[in-house]
Amino acid sequence: MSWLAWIRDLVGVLLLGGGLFFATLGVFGLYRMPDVYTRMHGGSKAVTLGASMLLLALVFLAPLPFGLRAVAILAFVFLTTPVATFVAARAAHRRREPMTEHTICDELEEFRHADRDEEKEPYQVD
Amino acid sequence: MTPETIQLALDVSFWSCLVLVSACMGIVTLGPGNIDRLVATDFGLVLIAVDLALFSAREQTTFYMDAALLIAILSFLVTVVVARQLETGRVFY
Repeated sequence: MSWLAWIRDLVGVLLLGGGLFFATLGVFGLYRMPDVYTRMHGGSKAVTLGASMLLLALVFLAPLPFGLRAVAILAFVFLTTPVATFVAARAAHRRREPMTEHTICDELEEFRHADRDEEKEPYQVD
Repeated sequence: MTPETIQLALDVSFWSCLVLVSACMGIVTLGPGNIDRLVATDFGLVLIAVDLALFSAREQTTFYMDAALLIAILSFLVTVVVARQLETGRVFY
């Protein structure tokens, strides 16, 4: 029974380390990437994975009430972070945030211009 | 593993997560554009929620977990509302 507890603790500590690694990569991507879309792309996936691994570690390391609440927070973060990043990316695209010069194509460009023609008020409010 | 090792791991992850939160706050302060500030606020709030969960496990009390859940909910709300404000210039019709 003790070796089972040992393996449980080992899995928890490994999840803590992996979560810290991925969250650090995500925040590093926020500083390093060239334009706003790639920053969002790098940050949202890595930070979501890192946060969920850190919360999942509490299931293994802490008693049951901590684990239940951590799973609730995890489910909420998993549901909302992609939606929030999508909304932010749509706002960036409609505000015509500049893309990096390595961009090959912008498949939504025509829709963006169509949006602009139909719009009564300009989008640019700063 | 001994409880001291687990406590040390929780300590290290708590303080490292706090460093990540302050890095996100650096983006909020310096960031190139407003969308960057918005995204960094979202990530910073998610990391603050995770950090509160780690802190409550470190202190052996569930007192802070509910605050963490509330902060996770509020981060989503803040991001959606501010993105709508930046996108169309108005929040409500």
